[in-house]
Amino acid sequence: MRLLAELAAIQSRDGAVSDAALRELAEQRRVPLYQLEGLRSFYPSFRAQPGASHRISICRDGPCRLAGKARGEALAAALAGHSDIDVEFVSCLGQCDCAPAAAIDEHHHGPLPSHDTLAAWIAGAGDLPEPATGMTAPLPTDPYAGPDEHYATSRHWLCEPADAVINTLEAAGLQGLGGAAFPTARKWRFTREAPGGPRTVICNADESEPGTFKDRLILEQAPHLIIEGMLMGAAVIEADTGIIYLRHEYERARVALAAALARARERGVLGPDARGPGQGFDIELFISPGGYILGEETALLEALEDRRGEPRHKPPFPVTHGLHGGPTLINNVETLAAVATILARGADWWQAQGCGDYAGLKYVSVSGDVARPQVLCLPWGTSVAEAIAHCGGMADGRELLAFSPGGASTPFLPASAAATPMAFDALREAGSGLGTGALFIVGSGRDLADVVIAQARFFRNESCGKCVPCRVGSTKGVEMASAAGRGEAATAVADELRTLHQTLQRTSICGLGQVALLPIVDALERFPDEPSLQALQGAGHE
Amino acid sequence: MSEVTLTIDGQSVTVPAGTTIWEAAAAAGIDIPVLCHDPRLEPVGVCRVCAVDIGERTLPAACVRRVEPGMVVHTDTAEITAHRRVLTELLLADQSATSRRETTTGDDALYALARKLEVGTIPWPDGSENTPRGHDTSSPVIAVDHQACILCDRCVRACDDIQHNDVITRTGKGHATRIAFDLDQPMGQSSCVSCGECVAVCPTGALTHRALPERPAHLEEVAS
Amino acid sequence: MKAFTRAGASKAAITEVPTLCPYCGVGCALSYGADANGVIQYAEGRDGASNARRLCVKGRYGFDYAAHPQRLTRPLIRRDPAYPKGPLSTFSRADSSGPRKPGGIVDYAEVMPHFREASWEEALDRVADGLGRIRSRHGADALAGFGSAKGSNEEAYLFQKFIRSVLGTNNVDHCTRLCHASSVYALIEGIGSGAVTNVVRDIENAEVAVIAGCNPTANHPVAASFMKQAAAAGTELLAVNVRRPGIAPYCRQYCQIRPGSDVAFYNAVMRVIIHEGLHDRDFIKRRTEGFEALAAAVESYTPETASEMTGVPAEEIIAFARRLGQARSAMFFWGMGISQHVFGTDNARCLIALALLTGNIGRPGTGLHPLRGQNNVQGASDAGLIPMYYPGYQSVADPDVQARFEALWGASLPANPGLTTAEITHAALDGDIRGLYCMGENPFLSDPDINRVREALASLDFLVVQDLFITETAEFADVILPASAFMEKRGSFTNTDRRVQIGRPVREPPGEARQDWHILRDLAQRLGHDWDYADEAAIFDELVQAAPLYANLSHARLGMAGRWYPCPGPESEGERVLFGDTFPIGRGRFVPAQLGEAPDLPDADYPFVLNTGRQLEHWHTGVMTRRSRALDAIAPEARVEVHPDDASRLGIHDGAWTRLASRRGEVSVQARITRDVAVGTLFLPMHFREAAANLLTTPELDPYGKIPEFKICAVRLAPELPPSAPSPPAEASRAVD
Repeated sequence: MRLLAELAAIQSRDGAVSDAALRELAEQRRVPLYQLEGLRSFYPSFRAQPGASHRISICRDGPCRLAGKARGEALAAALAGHSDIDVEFVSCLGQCDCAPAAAIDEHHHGPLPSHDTLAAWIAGAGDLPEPATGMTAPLPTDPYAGPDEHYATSRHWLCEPADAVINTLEAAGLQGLGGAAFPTARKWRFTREAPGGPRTVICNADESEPGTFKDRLILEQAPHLIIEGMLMGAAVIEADTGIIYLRHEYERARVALAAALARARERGVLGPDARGPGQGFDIELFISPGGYILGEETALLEALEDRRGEPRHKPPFPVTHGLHGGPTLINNVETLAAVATILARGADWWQAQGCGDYAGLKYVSVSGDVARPQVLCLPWGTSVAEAIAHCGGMADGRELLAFSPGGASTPFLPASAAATPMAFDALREAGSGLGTGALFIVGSGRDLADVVIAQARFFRNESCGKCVPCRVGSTKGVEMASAAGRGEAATAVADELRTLHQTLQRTSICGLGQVALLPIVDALERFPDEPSLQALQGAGHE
Repeated sequence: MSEVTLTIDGQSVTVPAGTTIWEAAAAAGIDIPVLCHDPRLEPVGVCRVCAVDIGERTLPAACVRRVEPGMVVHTDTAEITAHRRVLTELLLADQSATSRRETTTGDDALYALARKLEVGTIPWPDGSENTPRGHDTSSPVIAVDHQACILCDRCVRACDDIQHNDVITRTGKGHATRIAFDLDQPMGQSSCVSCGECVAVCPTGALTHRALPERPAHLEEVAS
Repeated sequence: MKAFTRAGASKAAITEVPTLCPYCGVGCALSYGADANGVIQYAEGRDGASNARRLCVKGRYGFDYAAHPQRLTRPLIRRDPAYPKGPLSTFSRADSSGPRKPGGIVDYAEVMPHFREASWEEALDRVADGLGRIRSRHGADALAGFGSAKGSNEEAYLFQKFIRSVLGTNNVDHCTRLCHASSVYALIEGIGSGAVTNVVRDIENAEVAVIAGCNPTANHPVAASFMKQAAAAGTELLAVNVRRPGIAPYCRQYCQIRPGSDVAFYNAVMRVIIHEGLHDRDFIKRRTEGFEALAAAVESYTPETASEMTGVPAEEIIAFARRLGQARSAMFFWGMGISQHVFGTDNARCLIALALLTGNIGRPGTGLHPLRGQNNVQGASDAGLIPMYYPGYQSVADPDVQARFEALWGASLPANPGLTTAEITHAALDGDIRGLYCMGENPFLSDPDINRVREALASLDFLVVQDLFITETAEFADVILPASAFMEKRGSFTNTDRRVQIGRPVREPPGEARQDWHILRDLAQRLGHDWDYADEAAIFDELVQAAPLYANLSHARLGMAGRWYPCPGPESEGERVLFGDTFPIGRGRFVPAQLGEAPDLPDADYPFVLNTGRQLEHWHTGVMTRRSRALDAIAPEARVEVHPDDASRLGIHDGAWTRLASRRGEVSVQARITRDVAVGTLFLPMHFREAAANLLTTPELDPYGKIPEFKICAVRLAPELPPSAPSPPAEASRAVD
């Protein structure tokens, strides 16, 4: 991660990563120019030319599009003549609770300001709107009453055998909470048993799927739980290196993590004896240069190895062949924090938290047409309807039309499914998935076709471009669906989209391509009578 | 080295461990089509036309997937052929009407695959009209047609891993990705040393020879 | 929505002829795709032992020279008014180097009026008569022949046989003299064999490789690709060069030494290795002799002393020695930066000693590899195209050998060794050489000190040039014979790896141009020798009979892939690594060397050291490459490389015209500003007649290898005054189609 960090430093110093700077870097580091070009052009936070003195980045995805597409476009139009302001539309900023969200000058993240507010701020005569406030520390899963108690759990568990740690996680039934739902205990065991090195623990803090912002809360409010979870992971897999891979838009999380890491080092929680006498462990905070695909664990590894963040072929999996070829434990933010909670409170306590047979607590990002979008900490198995109620019910007097329970890759379900418990298996059976725990609510009166095409468009925009089905197929699919949605399609597109989706689903290298057209194709099946989708349905529905 | 026995299209095949499915199939006389793969290059598995069915949720690329004991591989089912045709059509949708490779060295692998799969009407939007990607004629010897490029990565690997001239990369991301030279300089102004390895490995009309053919003396005026 | 049309082009009309690249010593195997008329459409790499389908820009795109409109298609005879002889074209004249004149190839409009076309009968009679007359008046040793390392083994063999057995003199040589003569001398002296001990691609087995005085990315590009590949896989490359080579970024260490300080550098490296006990005592004991003398000789070269001599910090020298000394296997590659010096033999002796000292000969990943320049410089030497050896390095001074060759060739042979290339031009100036037969060489541009060569060529009573074009040398010819190009002939070629491979014809020579060996045969017959060969294979068979070196080889056995020599049996692929147990002379000999002094050193008037050499896109005197549209388009003009500090001091910007003068001549040339050259040094490629590097170079020779000093001459550099002539063509990327 030497080169990407250097590029980031150049970008931050010069406002651009210029050819001249790269030539100098190539000379210094003895790397070929092509490699630097490959990096500069792949990651959205690098720019070849400095832009205007101000940059407004407006989110174009999911809840933000629903809440404020017109506002964003109006602001862009109003600022079109200002040479000192660049306006761009970007992928999800992870601020779906204040939709429509925007980033100003890449530092201020929050609600899209009005034209007047923005003008006043640029003139130095006012503040930008604050981002939404969510829960504050201590979070419901935080076992500690205050900072002094932090890391008591690991102090205890570091003296226990690794198997005991793994068995506790197994007993708690913890599954990966980044969306994949892989049993955490098995992942830890596989990584522990994998031979060779280097051995690394990575926290995937790159949540970027539209509607997903629950990790942001944990990162900002309970970074010590993440650090503690990583430390336990390091003890179990015998790693001396940890990396938190954080999306660059999470400025406040970066500050909170940096502070927590500094405190942990001061206290010796991290450092040369972190895992025991002479058994060091430390954590580096790595800021992602951007892109949703970096949340894919092998793309993330590519980035950490100074390459373009294009997913690897699996197998081999990171547990055996991860960072620099060594065994690598990669867990999501919420999973690692849950590890700390479970180890502190015990597997039985965790089991007791869920509804009915469900175990544990789940942070859920709720966005879209609810009165108060926010992150909820809910017992596993809470129904979608209850979650909506926790958010003050539907907004603007709308009825529930459809909801996507787990991020852009989980298909929309109709209002009739609102009683489904929020759990991996139940939502899978209902035809969707819990995914990242990102409940995106769409109310009556909304253009569902526009919503699902926008979901697919997000994947097209974020495709890394490595494999043909995803790179070309997502483009063609979105192009066809959009044209049909505008009433411009000469023939029916539903069958073609289904055919295309099947090829993407079966032949794409990673999950992004596999699901890129799913939101559209699934909605065409599940909402046969939805008026907005008729233009895509083709002959049979005309 | 230990050996692995697997079944490919009903045929039992024994190969050294570490062999790819594509190599194992080739050894058994089974031809799995490829566009991005060249046996001289490390496989990247990006074109996906060598996708095979091994009973998993998705169809892995035979060129990268290593054999496993007892693996049952199908290389030529109706489903696989359908996917191959879609992939080929998707790539053709962005191609120009004619390939410069067909008219120079005559070995455009994409067009050959399309002929083999009997591709006819292409149902996908025409990318060559809507999003022209441009040409680069700055090199005296190599013509670059970005429109014909299928991002197979062969030239990148040939330049960087075979000749080690370290000039070619992919630039950009997603559908806007294309090949580039150095810091995205025109080829003729880059550090390219014109070895032509990229042209030699390119499967399409994206990289073709310009400086061809010879001009026989009797067709030219005597130089003054 | 569009439809795919299935009609496809096919390669049916194209025939792919498996042959070789005509350029460098790497010996890449390729196919020419030719249409029904034999017009080459493209070149494609074959899976050859030395190239694995790779090619470089010259091999891939430089094949069209042979179809250039200037190809000679009929014999030419000098018209009477064109005597006395002298240069005919602008850039061959002594006053030629005016500013900013267009350069390029010989202007036929200036030259052709001085010649008339003739029949082969007349031309061959003229040659037989011209050579015969000198022999009868002045003796056979007043004649000499320059063969070519561009010709096949068969052509080289017949040429030397012609000069020796038909003309009766050993005055036969070729461009190896300008290339690795010093290396070959040192190798034969040190280990008893002048060829490489291991092939380039075995670098993949080497822990360390020394890349000394060579620039493989430009001069052996495909070999360089294997070096870079090895580096990527972990081989540590250690480069030593006065000018930063293109491979430097791939090297673990690059030492930029001062011109002419090689011996000091390597002696110091050897001293460190010995002092730190990193030498291979067992190998030295079993396989070598003279270690004590070597150890004593290098003792005064402390890293600190050597640092002062070479400009390389002492710690760098020590680090270099340790990396090399600690490696379990090391290969040594070198080029003209080692050999083209008056102390070239001493330079090579040091590298050989270093290999012996560290026990790095005879195993995989070890060995000595002087990178041979021409595609057949190894083979031409093997075939006896050198004045002191018959084919197979059998001494002409050995009466037993002489007797054997007299029996084989059915002719009486001269007993005394002949003169070398540069000695021949010296002798021509002295009037001792009166007649010269030049087959495929262009000494006017390739030999040092052109003003002297010009005089020498003009002073000859009779000069016959056999070539594809009217070269600068041919301007002085009495008779010019149109010959065959590489793609028009069949023959074997021996590459730098000692691999003997067959080149095959794509088409017949144009017009009345003839196979070179047919010309030699016809001349021999005219001069009373009943030469007759069924074909090239028969000539090769006679070469094998003459030279045991090539035992077990024949055209049939060489087949499509070729074989290495020595080839121990008919079924053998030949040997990659030589001398695993013993050397041809038994024990390897350490030959100590002391730092010498170049003959033409800088002073206040000529403050710069000029280095000359080659560039990627061009070949030697440019006869071929400047007639290739592709190569000419990529690299149309000469540039002298100047360090930015010198440039700014002299007020020279990139692309500015400069005047470059030595004690012997001067040229006008544009500058290229680059840090590749050190402060106080310049580099000028040798390919460009309009800025001929050899107008500046010095004619002094190495006492052993007789190789000229091409790498050090003192020059003065100045910005040229505002133009009086028209501006050069605007620099633009010149497309060729």
